[in-house]
Amino acid sequence: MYARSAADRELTFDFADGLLNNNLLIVDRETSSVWSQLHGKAVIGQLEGTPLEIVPSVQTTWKFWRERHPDTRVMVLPEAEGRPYLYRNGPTGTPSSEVGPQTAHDSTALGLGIVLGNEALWASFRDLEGRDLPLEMTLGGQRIRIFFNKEALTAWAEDLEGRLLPGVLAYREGWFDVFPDSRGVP
Amino acid sequence: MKLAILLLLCAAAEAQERTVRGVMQPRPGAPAEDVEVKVHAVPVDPPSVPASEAKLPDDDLVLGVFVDGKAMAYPIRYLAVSEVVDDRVGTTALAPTW
Repeated sequence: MYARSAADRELTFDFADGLLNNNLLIVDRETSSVWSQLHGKAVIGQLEGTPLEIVPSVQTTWKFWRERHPDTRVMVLPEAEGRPYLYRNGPTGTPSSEVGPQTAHDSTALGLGIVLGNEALWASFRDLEGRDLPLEMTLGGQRIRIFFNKEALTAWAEDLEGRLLPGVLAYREGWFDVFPDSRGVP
Repeated sequence: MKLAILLLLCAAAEAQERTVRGVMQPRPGAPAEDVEVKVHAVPVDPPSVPASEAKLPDDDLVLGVFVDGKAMAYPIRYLAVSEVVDDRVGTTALAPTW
């Protein structure tokens, strides 16, 4: 989740076919700069090298989010049913090449990716399962706590004051393509 | 890591769909390739409803954000189609992506 502003101007993003480092590309309407979605940085165009500010967010189930934020609103696109994306807590046995729009994906292959300072972390769901949580550790010189909820299919990180930190749920391959020097949880 | 990428942006067509052409190194170590990608318009300021009016299944995935004292959830079922939307929560212009 990014703030839609850079270089003192508000931006409007569209998405583009094509991949960079196995990651999606988005393009802003105002300058036609091309941005790496996962990297959050313009890679081509007038704003090349400009980073977007990350707004911390949590990917989780609707039930879990709604219970934590009863006053939440939720985006609806009435003209479209969307493409249901389902996860299950375990291997699905379905090769990724055969994954269809209704196919359940294996949540255990996910991890929480975080970059703080000059350090990147990819905390695998498999490594978090069974640990004493929240897991406290140091990343980028900062003490953080990592939370994991298997039923809610989510993990997130907070600082010691309880502020949500920027993080994203990603598959190992996609994350390490962009942050190849990432460490794992201790 | 600095990617050697050259891209010549070509004239945009309609706002709904336009084309970007150029030369791109798709991944480190790979040869540069001529590419032509379509850029697809996505929803701007999409509508939203309170949780009580939502018809989402409990196990649907959402991307949730709490900003300016307001909580907003973006169902992955929609982001999976458009990859990004352009929204505003409070005074903050947001681009939820997936």
